Amino acid sequence: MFVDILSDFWASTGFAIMEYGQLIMLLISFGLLYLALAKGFEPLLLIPIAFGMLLANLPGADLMKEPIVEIIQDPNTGELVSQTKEVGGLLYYLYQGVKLGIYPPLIFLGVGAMTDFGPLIANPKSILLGAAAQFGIFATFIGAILLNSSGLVAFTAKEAASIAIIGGADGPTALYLTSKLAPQLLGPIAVAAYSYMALVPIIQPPIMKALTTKEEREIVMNQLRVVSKKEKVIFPIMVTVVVSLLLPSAASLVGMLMLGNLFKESLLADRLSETAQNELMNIVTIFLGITVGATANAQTFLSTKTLSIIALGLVAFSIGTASGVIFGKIMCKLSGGKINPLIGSAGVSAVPMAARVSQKVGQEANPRNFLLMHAMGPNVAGVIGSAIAAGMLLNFFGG
Amino acid sequence: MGEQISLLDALLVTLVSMVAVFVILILISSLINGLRMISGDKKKTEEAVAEVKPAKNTVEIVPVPEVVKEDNEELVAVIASVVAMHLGLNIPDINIKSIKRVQQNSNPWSSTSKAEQLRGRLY
Repeated sequence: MFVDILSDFWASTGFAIMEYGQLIMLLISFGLLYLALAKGFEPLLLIPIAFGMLLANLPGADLMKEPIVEIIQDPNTGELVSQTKEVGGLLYYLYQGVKLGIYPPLIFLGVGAMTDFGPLIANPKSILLGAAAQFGIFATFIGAILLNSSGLVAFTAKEAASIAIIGGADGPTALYLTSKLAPQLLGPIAVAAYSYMALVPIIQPPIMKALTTKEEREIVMNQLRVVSKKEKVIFPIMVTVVVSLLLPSAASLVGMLMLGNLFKESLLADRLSETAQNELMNIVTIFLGITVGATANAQTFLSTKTLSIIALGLVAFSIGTASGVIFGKIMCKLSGGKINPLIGSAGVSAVPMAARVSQKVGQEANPRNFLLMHAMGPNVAGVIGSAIAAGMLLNFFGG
Repeated sequence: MGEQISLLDALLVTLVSMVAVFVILILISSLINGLRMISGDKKKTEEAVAEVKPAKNTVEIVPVPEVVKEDNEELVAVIASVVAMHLGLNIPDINIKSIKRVQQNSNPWSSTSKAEQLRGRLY
Protein backbone atom coordinates (compact mmCIF):
# COMPACT_ATOMS: atom_id res chain seq x y z
CA MET A 1 0.00 0.00 0.00
CA PHE A 2 2.66 2.52 1.10
CA VAL A 3 4.85 1.48 -1.82
CA ASP A 4 1.94 2.03 -4.24
CA ILE A 5 1.35 5.54 -2.91
CA LEU A 6 5.03 6.33 -3.25
CA SER A 7 5.23 4.95 -6.78
CA ASP A 8 2.07 6.82 -7.81
CA PHE A 9 3.53 10.00 -6.39
CA TRP A 10 6.83 9.38 -8.20
CA ALA A 11 4.96 8.76 -11.46
CA SER A 12 3.13 12.09 -11.09
CA THR A 13 6.34 14.11 -10.62
CA GLY A 14 8.17 15.77 -13.44
CA PHE A 15 11.27 13.67 -12.80
CA ALA A 16 9.52 10.50 -13.92
CA ILE A 17 8.21 11.89 -17.18
CA MET A 18 11.17 14.03 -18.15
CA GLU A 19 12.60 13.41 -21.59
CA TYR A 20 16.23 13.91 -22.61
CA GLY A 21 15.34 16.87 -24.78
CA GLN A 22 13.66 18.64 -21.89
CA LEU A 23 16.65 18.01 -19.66
CA ILE A 24 18.97 19.57 -22.24
CA MET A 25 16.62 22.55 -22.60
CA LEU A 26 16.66 23.02 -18.82
CA LEU A 27 20.46 22.97 -18.87
CA ILE A 28 20.47 25.57 -21.70
CA SER A 29 18.12 27.76 -19.67
CA PHE A 30 20.47 27.48 -16.68
CA GLY A 31 23.34 28.49 -18.95
CA LEU A 32 21.43 31.55 -20.17
CA LEU A 33 20.44 32.45 -16.61
CA TYR A 34 24.11 32.23 -15.63
CA LEU A 35 25.06 34.57 -18.49
CA ALA A 36 22.34 37.03 -17.46
CA LEU A 37 22.86 36.91 -13.69
CA ALA A 38 26.59 36.38 -13.31
CA LYS A 39 27.91 38.04 -16.46
CA GLY A 40 25.33 40.84 -16.77
CA PHE A 41 24.54 39.82 -20.36
CA GLU A 42 21.36 41.83 -21.28
CA PRO A 43 19.77 40.78 -17.93
CA LEU A 44 16.53 42.71 -18.51
CA LEU A 45 15.72 40.45 -21.45
CA LEU A 46 17.70 37.34 -20.86
CA ILE A 47 16.32 36.68 -17.36
CA PRO A 48 12.68 36.50 -18.55
CA ILE A 49 13.65 34.63 -21.75
CA ALA A 50 15.72 32.04 -19.89
CA PHE A 51 13.11 31.66 -17.17
CA GLY A 52 10.36 31.24 -19.75
CA MET A 53 12.47 28.51 -21.33
CA LEU A 54 12.87 26.90 -17.92
CA LEU A 55 9.14 27.00 -17.14
CA ALA A 56 8.01 25.70 -20.53
CA ASN A 57 10.35 22.72 -20.36
CA LEU A 58 9.35 21.53 -16.91
CA PRO A 59 7.53 18.28 -17.68
CA GLY A 60 4.03 18.02 -16.29
CA ALA A 61 3.67 21.74 -15.58
CA ASP A 62 2.14 22.26 -19.04
CA LEU A 63 2.46 26.04 -18.91
CA MET A 64 2.37 26.31 -22.70
CA LYS A 65 -0.50 23.81 -23.09
CA GLU A 66 -3.13 24.82 -25.60
CA PRO A 67 -6.72 24.87 -24.35
CA ILE A 68 -9.02 22.11 -25.55
CA VAL A 69 -12.12 23.52 -27.13
CA GLU A 70 -15.05 21.41 -28.31
CA ILE A 71 -17.92 22.34 -30.53
CA ILE A 72 -21.26 21.33 -29.04
CA GLN A 73 -24.88 21.87 -29.94
CA ASP A 74 -26.61 24.30 -27.62
CA PRO A 75 -29.53 22.34 -26.09
CA ASN A 76 -31.79 25.43 -26.07
CA THR A 77 -31.15 27.08 -29.40
CA GLY A 78 -29.76 24.14 -31.34
CA GLU A 79 -26.83 26.28 -32.59
CA LEU A 80 -23.26 25.04 -32.70
CA VAL A 81 -21.21 26.75 -30.00
CA SER A 82 -17.64 26.34 -28.82
CA GLN A 83 -17.00 25.36 -25.24
CA THR A 84 -13.69 25.24 -23.42
CA LYS A 85 -13.22 21.72 -22.16
CA GLU A 86 -9.81 22.27 -20.68
CA VAL A 87 -8.17 25.66 -20.12
CA GLY A 88 -4.66 26.26 -21.45
CA GLY A 89 -1.48 27.01 -19.51
CA LEU A 90 -0.66 30.48 -18.20
CA LEU A 91 2.12 31.06 -20.71
CA TYR A 92 -0.11 29.97 -23.58
CA TYR A 93 -2.42 32.90 -22.90
CA LEU A 94 0.41 35.38 -22.41
CA TYR A 95 1.93 34.08 -25.66
CA GLN A 96 -1.09 35.33 -27.60
CA GLY A 97 0.40 38.83 -27.35
CA VAL A 98 3.40 37.62 -29.33
CA LYS A 99 1.43 35.39 -31.70
CA LEU A 100 -1.00 38.16 -32.61
CA GLY A 101 1.78 40.74 -32.96
CA ILE A 102 0.68 42.89 -30.01
CA TYR A 103 3.77 43.10 -27.79
CA PRO A 104 6.44 44.23 -30.31
CA PRO A 105 4.52 47.37 -31.39
CA LEU A 106 3.89 48.20 -27.70
CA ILE A 107 7.63 47.94 -27.06
CA PHE A 108 8.12 50.26 -30.03
CA LEU A 109 5.77 52.76 -28.38
CA GLY A 110 8.19 52.90 -25.45
CA VAL A 111 11.23 53.00 -27.72
CA GLY A 112 9.68 55.96 -29.56
CA ALA A 113 9.11 57.78 -26.28
CA MET A 114 12.78 57.30 -25.43
CA THR A 115 14.24 58.20 -28.83
CA ASP A 116 15.45 61.63 -29.85
CA PHE A 117 15.16 61.96 -33.61
CA GLY A 118 16.85 65.39 -33.39
CA PRO A 119 20.23 64.26 -34.80
CA LEU A 120 18.43 62.67 -37.75
CA ILE A 121 16.37 65.80 -38.44
CA ALA A 122 19.51 67.96 -38.13
CA ASN A 123 21.35 65.86 -40.70
CA PRO A 124 18.80 64.18 -42.99
CA LYS A 125 21.55 62.72 -45.22
CA SER A 126 22.50 60.39 -42.38
CA ILE A 127 19.22 58.54 -42.98
CA LEU A 128 20.88 56.92 -46.01
CA LEU A 129 23.36 55.16 -43.75
CA GLY A 130 20.42 53.64 -41.89
CA ALA A 131 19.18 52.31 -45.24
CA ALA A 132 22.57 50.95 -46.34
CA ALA A 133 23.01 48.90 -43.18
CA GLN A 134 19.86 46.93 -44.08
CA PHE A 135 21.94 45.08 -46.69
CA GLY A 136 22.86 42.77 -43.80
CA ILE A 137 19.26 41.55 -43.66
CA PHE A 138 19.02 40.66 -47.30
CA ALA A 139 22.53 39.23 -47.61
CA THR A 140 21.57 36.85 -44.81
CA PHE A 141 18.30 36.05 -46.56
CA ILE A 142 20.27 34.98 -49.62
CA GLY A 143 22.71 33.13 -47.35
CA ALA A 144 19.88 31.14 -45.75
CA ILE A 145 18.49 30.18 -49.18
CA LEU A 146 22.00 29.15 -50.28
CA LEU A 147 22.39 27.00 -47.15
CA ASN A 148 19.40 24.99 -48.35
CA SER A 149 21.39 23.82 -51.35
CA SER A 150 24.10 22.49 -49.02
CA GLY A 151 21.60 19.90 -47.84
CA LEU A 152 22.37 20.51 -44.15
CA VAL A 153 19.16 22.38 -43.40
CA ALA A 154 15.94 23.13 -45.23
CA PHE A 155 14.68 26.63 -44.53
CA THR A 156 11.44 27.72 -46.09
CA ALA A 157 11.32 31.22 -47.58
CA LYS A 158 9.38 32.41 -44.50
CA GLU A 159 11.99 30.98 -42.15
CA ALA A 160 14.83 32.51 -44.18
CA ALA A 161 13.12 35.93 -44.00
CA SER A 162 12.67 35.60 -40.23
CA ILE A 163 16.32 34.66 -39.72
CA ALA A 164 17.51 37.46 -41.98
CA ILE A 165 15.73 40.12 -39.93
CA ILE A 166 18.18 39.40 -37.07
CA GLY A 167 20.47 41.64 -39.17
CA GLY A 168 18.12 44.53 -38.44
CA ALA A 169 19.56 44.39 -34.90
CA ASP A 170 16.18 45.32 -33.59
CA GLY A 171 14.59 42.89 -31.14
CA PRO A 172 10.92 43.92 -31.45
CA THR A 173 11.07 44.01 -35.27
CA ALA A 174 12.70 40.56 -35.39
CA LEU A 175 10.07 39.10 -33.04
CA TYR A 176 7.22 40.80 -34.88
CA LEU A 177 8.23 39.41 -38.26
CA THR A 178 9.06 35.97 -36.89
CA SER A 179 5.73 35.73 -35.06
CA LYS A 180 3.99 36.41 -38.38
CA LEU A 181 6.14 34.22 -40.65
CA ALA A 182 7.79 31.45 -38.65
CA PRO A 183 6.54 31.37 -35.03
CA GLN A 184 8.20 27.99 -34.49
CA LEU A 185 11.58 29.73 -34.69
CA LEU A 186 10.81 32.49 -32.16
CA GLY A 187 13.01 30.94 -29.45
CA PRO A 188 16.26 30.53 -31.40
CA ILE A 189 15.79 33.83 -33.27
CA ALA A 190 15.15 35.78 -30.05
CA VAL A 191 18.20 34.27 -28.36
CA ALA A 192 20.41 34.94 -31.41
CA ALA A 193 19.11 38.51 -31.94
CA TYR A 194 19.46 39.61 -28.31
CA SER A 195 22.80 37.86 -27.84
CA TYR A 196 24.34 39.55 -30.85
CA MET A 197 22.92 42.90 -29.80
CA ALA A 198 24.72 42.48 -26.48
CA LEU A 199 27.85 41.59 -28.45
CA VAL A 200 27.75 44.67 -30.73
CA PRO A 201 30.77 46.26 -28.94
CA ILE A 202 32.78 43.12 -29.72
CA ILE A 203 31.51 42.33 -33.25
CA GLN A 204 31.61 45.81 -34.78
CA PRO A 205 34.99 47.43 -33.97
CA PRO A 206 37.22 44.96 -35.90
CA ILE A 207 35.02 45.30 -39.00
CA MET A 208 34.97 49.10 -38.70
CA LYS A 209 38.74 49.29 -38.32
CA ALA A 210 39.40 46.86 -41.17
CA LEU A 211 37.33 48.90 -43.62
CA THR A 212 38.55 52.40 -42.76
CA THR A 213 41.91 54.17 -42.78
CA LYS A 214 43.19 56.00 -39.71
CA GLU A 215 42.72 59.33 -41.53
CA GLU A 216 39.05 58.52 -42.15
CA ARG A 217 38.49 57.55 -38.52
CA GLU A 218 40.09 60.82 -37.40
CA ILE A 219 37.63 63.02 -39.31
CA VAL A 220 35.94 65.49 -36.94
CA MET A 221 32.40 66.30 -38.06
CA ASN A 222 30.79 69.74 -37.89
CA GLN A 223 28.49 70.49 -34.97
CA LEU A 224 24.85 69.61 -35.69
CA ARG A 225 22.35 72.43 -36.06
CA VAL A 226 19.72 73.09 -33.43
CA VAL A 227 16.39 71.44 -34.31
CA SER A 228 13.24 73.43 -33.56
CA LYS A 229 10.38 72.00 -31.53
CA LYS A 230 8.06 72.42 -34.50
CA GLU A 231 10.24 70.12 -36.62
CA LYS A 232 10.43 67.52 -33.86
CA VAL A 233 6.64 67.50 -33.48
CA ILE A 234 5.84 67.34 -37.20
CA PHE A 235 8.45 64.61 -37.87
CA PRO A 236 6.66 61.64 -36.23
CA ILE A 237 3.33 62.55 -37.85
CA MET A 238 4.98 62.93 -41.24
CA VAL A 239 6.90 59.64 -41.04
CA THR A 240 3.79 57.74 -39.94
CA VAL A 241 1.75 59.04 -42.84
CA VAL A 242 4.47 58.51 -45.48
CA VAL A 243 5.56 55.03 -44.36
CA SER A 244 2.06 53.74 -43.62
CA LEU A 245 0.72 54.90 -46.97
CA LEU A 246 3.63 53.49 -48.93
CA LEU A 247 4.00 50.28 -46.93
CA PRO A 248 0.87 49.46 -44.91
CA SER A 249 2.47 46.29 -43.51
CA ALA A 250 4.98 48.42 -41.56
CA ALA A 251 2.28 50.68 -40.14
CA SER A 252 1.87 48.98 -36.76
CA LEU A 253 5.60 49.11 -35.93
CA VAL A 254 6.37 52.55 -37.36
CA GLY A 255 3.04 53.99 -36.21
CA MET A 256 3.58 53.00 -32.58
CA LEU A 257 7.22 54.12 -32.66
CA MET A 258 6.16 57.53 -33.89
CA LEU A 259 3.22 57.82 -31.49
CA GLY A 260 5.63 57.25 -28.59
CA ASN A 261 7.91 59.91 -30.04
CA LEU A 262 5.04 62.36 -30.41
CA PHE A 263 4.16 61.83 -26.72
CA LYS A 264 7.74 62.81 -25.90
CA GLU A 265 8.22 65.72 -28.29
CA SER A 266 4.84 67.41 -27.79
CA LEU A 267 5.84 68.11 -24.15
CA LEU A 268 2.10 68.07 -23.44
CA ALA A 269 1.72 64.37 -22.76
CA ASP A 270 4.51 63.81 -20.26
CA ARG A 271 2.43 61.34 -18.24
CA LEU A 272 1.77 59.18 -21.29
CA SER A 273 5.38 59.43 -22.37
CA GLU A 274 6.60 58.41 -18.91
CA THR A 275 4.21 55.45 -18.82
CA ALA A 276 5.14 54.31 -22.33
CA GLN A 277 8.86 54.32 -21.61
CA ASN A 278 8.72 52.92 -18.08
CA GLU A 279 5.74 50.97 -16.74
CA LEU A 280 4.22 49.81 -20.04
CA MET A 281 7.60 48.98 -21.55
CA ASN A 282 8.61 46.97 -18.48
CA ILE A 283 5.34 45.06 -18.28
CA VAL A 284 5.41 44.17 -21.96
CA THR A 285 9.10 43.23 -21.76
CA ILE A 286 8.29 40.73 -19.00
CA PHE A 287 5.44 39.17 -20.99
CA LEU A 288 7.40 39.18 -24.23
CA GLY A 289 10.57 37.73 -22.73
CA ILE A 290 8.91 34.97 -20.76
CA THR A 291 6.67 33.82 -23.61
CA VAL A 292 9.36 34.00 -26.29
CA GLY A 293 11.55 31.88 -24.03
CA ALA A 294 8.65 29.50 -23.55
CA THR A 295 8.43 28.83 -27.30
CA ALA A 296 11.87 27.22 -27.14
CA ASN A 297 11.08 23.54 -26.85
CA ALA A 298 13.41 20.64 -27.46
CA GLN A 299 11.94 19.73 -30.87
CA THR A 300 12.61 23.10 -32.47
CA PHE A 301 15.56 24.30 -30.41
CA LEU A 302 17.77 21.23 -30.47
CA SER A 303 18.26 21.05 -34.21
CA THR A 304 20.78 22.01 -36.85
CA LYS A 305 18.46 24.90 -37.67
CA THR A 306 19.29 26.61 -34.37
CA LEU A 307 23.01 26.35 -35.04
CA SER A 308 22.50 27.69 -38.56
CA ILE A 309 20.39 30.55 -37.17
CA ILE A 310 23.14 31.49 -34.72
CA ALA A 311 25.76 31.39 -37.50
CA LEU A 312 23.57 33.33 -39.95
CA GLY A 313 22.77 35.92 -37.27
CA LEU A 314 26.46 36.71 -36.92
CA VAL A 315 26.77 36.99 -40.71
CA ALA A 316 23.77 39.35 -40.74
CA PHE A 317 25.28 41.64 -38.09
CA SER A 318 28.70 41.66 -39.74
CA ILE A 319 27.42 42.42 -43.24
CA GLY A 320 25.07 45.11 -41.88
CA THR A 321 28.00 46.78 -40.12
CA ALA A 322 30.25 46.47 -43.17
CA SER A 323 27.69 47.83 -45.64
CA GLY A 324 27.00 50.79 -43.33
CA VAL A 325 30.71 51.62 -43.08
CA ILE A 326 31.24 51.19 -46.84
CA PHE A 327 28.32 53.51 -47.57
CA GLY A 328 29.81 55.89 -45.00
CA LYS A 329 33.05 55.87 -46.98
CA ILE A 330 31.16 56.69 -50.17
CA MET A 331 29.39 59.58 -48.43
CA CYS A 332 32.74 60.69 -47.00
CA LYS A 333 34.18 60.93 -50.53
CA LEU A 334 31.11 62.66 -51.94
CA SER A 335 30.98 65.20 -49.11
CA GLY A 336 34.66 66.04 -49.56
CA GLY A 337 35.73 64.40 -46.30
CA LYS A 338 33.11 65.95 -44.04
CA ILE A 339 31.50 62.67 -42.95
CA ASN A 340 33.32 60.19 -40.76
CA PRO A 341 32.57 56.70 -42.20
CA LEU A 342 32.48 55.25 -38.68
CA ILE A 343 28.96 56.58 -38.16
CA GLY A 344 27.78 54.19 -40.91
CA SER A 345 28.07 51.16 -38.67
CA ALA A 346 25.46 52.68 -36.33
CA GLY A 347 22.91 52.19 -39.12
CA VAL A 348 22.29 48.63 -37.95
CA SER A 349 19.99 50.01 -35.16
CA ALA A 350 20.85 48.38 -31.79
CA VAL A 351 20.07 51.80 -30.26
CA PRO A 352 22.11 53.30 -28.64
CA MET A 353 24.82 50.66 -28.37
CA ALA A 354 25.93 50.87 -32.03
CA ALA A 355 26.21 54.68 -31.82
CA ARG A 356 28.34 54.34 -28.70
CA VAL A 357 30.64 51.95 -30.58
CA SER A 358 31.08 54.56 -33.36
CA GLN A 359 31.92 57.15 -30.70
CA LYS A 360 34.44 54.84 -29.01
CA VAL A 361 36.24 53.77 -32.17
CA GLY A 362 36.31 57.40 -33.39
CA GLN A 363 37.76 58.60 -30.13
CA GLU A 364 40.44 55.91 -30.18
CA ALA A 365 41.68 57.34 -33.48
CA ASN A 366 41.34 60.97 -32.44
CA PRO A 367 40.72 61.81 -28.76
CA ARG A 368 39.05 65.09 -29.78
CA ASN A 369 36.44 63.30 -31.86
CA PHE A 370 32.85 63.27 -30.62
CA LEU A 371 30.78 61.17 -33.01
CA LEU A 372 27.99 60.10 -30.65
CA MET A 373 25.33 62.58 -31.77
CA HIS A 374 26.32 62.19 -35.43
CA ALA A 375 26.01 58.40 -35.10
CA MET A 376 22.58 58.70 -33.46
CA GLY A 377 21.18 59.90 -36.83
CA PRO A 378 21.94 56.67 -38.74
CA ASN A 379 21.20 54.71 -35.57
CA VAL A 380 17.57 55.84 -35.31
CA ALA A 381 17.23 55.78 -39.11
CA GLY A 382 18.24 52.12 -38.84
CA VAL A 383 15.23 51.47 -36.63
CA ILE A 384 12.91 52.93 -39.28
CA GLY A 385 14.90 51.14 -42.02
CA SER A 386 14.61 47.71 -40.42
CA ALA A 387 10.89 48.23 -39.81
CA ILE A 388 10.51 49.02 -43.53
CA ALA A 389 12.59 45.95 -44.47
CA ALA A 390 10.37 43.84 -42.20
CA GLY A 391 7.31 45.34 -43.89
CA MET A 392 8.71 44.40 -47.31
CA LEU A 393 9.42 40.81 -46.21
CA LEU A 394 5.92 40.63 -44.75
CA ASN A 395 4.56 41.84 -48.09
CA PHE A 396 6.38 39.10 -49.95
CA PHE A 397 5.90 36.17 -47.60
CA GLY A 398 3.07 37.07 -45.22
CA GLY A 399 -0.42 35.75 -45.62
CA MET B 1 5.49 33.42 -52.78
CA GLY B 2 5.85 29.69 -52.22
CA GLU B 3 7.41 27.78 -49.35
CA GLN B 4 10.73 27.19 -51.09
CA ILE B 5 12.20 29.81 -53.37
CA SER B 6 15.09 29.79 -55.81
CA LEU B 7 18.22 31.90 -55.53
CA LEU B 8 17.01 34.07 -58.37
CA ASP B 9 13.77 34.81 -56.50
CA ALA B 10 15.78 35.60 -53.37
CA LEU B 11 17.92 38.06 -55.36
CA LEU B 12 14.80 39.65 -56.76
CA VAL B 13 13.27 40.02 -53.28
CA THR B 14 16.53 41.61 -52.12
CA LEU B 15 16.67 44.04 -55.01
CA VAL B 16 13.05 45.16 -54.71
CA SER B 17 13.21 45.45 -50.89
CA MET B 18 16.47 47.39 -50.80
CA VAL B 19 15.19 49.79 -53.46
CA ALA B 20 12.02 50.25 -51.38
CA VAL B 21 14.02 50.87 -48.18
CA PHE B 22 16.19 53.47 -49.94
CA VAL B 23 13.30 55.17 -51.75
CA ILE B 24 11.19 55.52 -48.58
CA LEU B 25 14.11 56.76 -46.49
CA ILE B 26 15.26 59.21 -49.21
CA LEU B 27 11.68 60.47 -49.37
CA ILE B 28 11.67 60.99 -45.60
CA SER B 29 15.06 62.71 -45.86
CA SER B 30 13.79 65.15 -48.50
CA LEU B 31 10.62 65.77 -46.49
CA ILE B 32 12.79 66.65 -43.48
CA ASN B 33 14.55 69.21 -45.68
CA GLY B 34 11.14 70.57 -46.65
CA LEU B 35 10.17 70.68 -42.98
CA ARG B 36 13.16 72.87 -42.30
CA MET B 37 11.95 75.35 -44.94
CA ILE B 38 8.51 75.45 -43.31
CA SER B 39 9.92 76.07 -39.87
CA GLY B 40 11.51 79.12 -41.49
CA ASP B 41 14.97 79.18 -39.97
CA LYS B 42 17.01 77.68 -42.74
CA LYS B 43 20.13 79.79 -42.46
CA LYS B 44 20.06 81.01 -38.92
CA THR B 45 20.13 77.65 -37.23
CA GLU B 46 23.25 76.52 -39.07
CA GLU B 47 25.34 79.14 -37.40
CA ALA B 48 27.07 78.57 -34.12
CA VAL B 49 25.15 78.96 -30.88
CA ALA B 50 26.97 82.02 -29.64
CA GLU B 51 26.47 83.90 -32.92
CA VAL B 52 25.98 87.66 -32.93
CA LYS B 53 22.52 88.82 -34.05
CA PRO B 54 20.12 91.38 -32.62
CA ALA B 55 16.97 89.87 -31.13
CA LYS B 56 14.46 90.15 -28.35
CA ASN B 57 16.62 88.85 -25.52
CA THR B 58 19.88 90.68 -26.03
CA VAL B 59 22.18 90.66 -23.07
CA GLU B 60 25.21 92.83 -22.98
CA ILE B 61 27.67 92.39 -20.20
CA VAL B 62 29.11 95.70 -18.91
CA PRO B 63 31.72 96.92 -21.36
CA VAL B 64 35.15 98.26 -20.54
CA PRO B 65 37.54 99.97 -22.92
CA GLU B 66 39.89 97.03 -23.19
CA VAL B 67 38.82 94.78 -26.07
CA VAL B 68 40.42 91.36 -26.22
CA LYS B 69 39.58 89.40 -29.34
CA GLU B 70 39.86 85.83 -28.19
CA ASP B 71 38.51 82.68 -29.70
CA ASN B 72 37.51 81.08 -26.46
CA GLU B 73 34.56 78.87 -27.32
CA GLU B 74 34.41 77.05 -24.00
CA LEU B 75 34.23 80.27 -22.02
CA VAL B 76 31.54 81.62 -24.37
CA ALA B 77 29.54 78.42 -23.96
CA VAL B 78 29.77 78.60 -20.16
CA ILE B 79 28.76 82.27 -20.05
CA ALA B 80 25.91 81.62 -22.52
CA SER B 81 24.54 78.78 -20.39
CA VAL B 82 24.79 80.80 -17.17
CA VAL B 83 22.98 83.76 -18.75
CA ALA B 84 20.32 81.43 -20.19
CA MET B 85 19.79 79.80 -16.81
CA HIS B 86 19.62 83.16 -15.07
CA LEU B 87 17.00 84.42 -17.54
CA GLY B 88 15.13 81.09 -17.55
CA LEU B 89 15.46 80.75 -21.34
CA ASN B 90 16.91 78.21 -23.75
CA ILE B 91 20.34 78.97 -25.20
CA PRO B 92 19.01 79.32 -28.79
CA ASP B 93 16.59 82.00 -27.56
CA ILE B 94 19.26 84.37 -26.35
CA ASN B 95 21.78 86.23 -28.43
CA ILE B 96 25.00 87.37 -26.88
CA LYS B 97 26.38 90.33 -28.78
CA SER B 98 29.63 90.62 -26.98
CA ILE B 99 31.38 89.52 -23.85
CA LYS B 100 33.90 91.87 -22.33
CA ARG B 101 35.93 91.43 -19.22
CA VAL B 102 35.10 93.94 -16.46
CA GLN B 103 38.16 95.64 -15.13
CA GLN B 104 38.80 95.15 -11.44
CA ASN B 105 38.35 98.71 -10.14
CA SER B 106 38.05 98.00 -6.44
CA ASN B 107 40.87 96.69 -4.32
CA PRO B 108 40.98 93.03 -3.24
CA TRP B 109 39.96 93.90 0.34
CA SER B 110 36.64 95.45 -0.64
CA SER B 111 35.81 92.67 -3.14
CA THR B 112 36.50 90.04 -0.49
CA SER B 113 34.22 91.91 1.88
CA LYS B 114 31.47 92.03 -0.79
CA ALA B 115 31.85 88.33 -1.42
CA GLU B 116 31.59 87.58 2.28
CA GLN B 117 28.48 89.70 2.64
CA LEU B 118 26.87 87.85 -0.29
CA ARG B 119 27.75 84.52 1.25
CA GLY B 120 26.26 85.69 4.54
CA ARG B 121 22.96 86.37 2.77
CA LEU B 122 22.97 83.02 1.09
CA TYR B 123 23.29 80.93 4.24
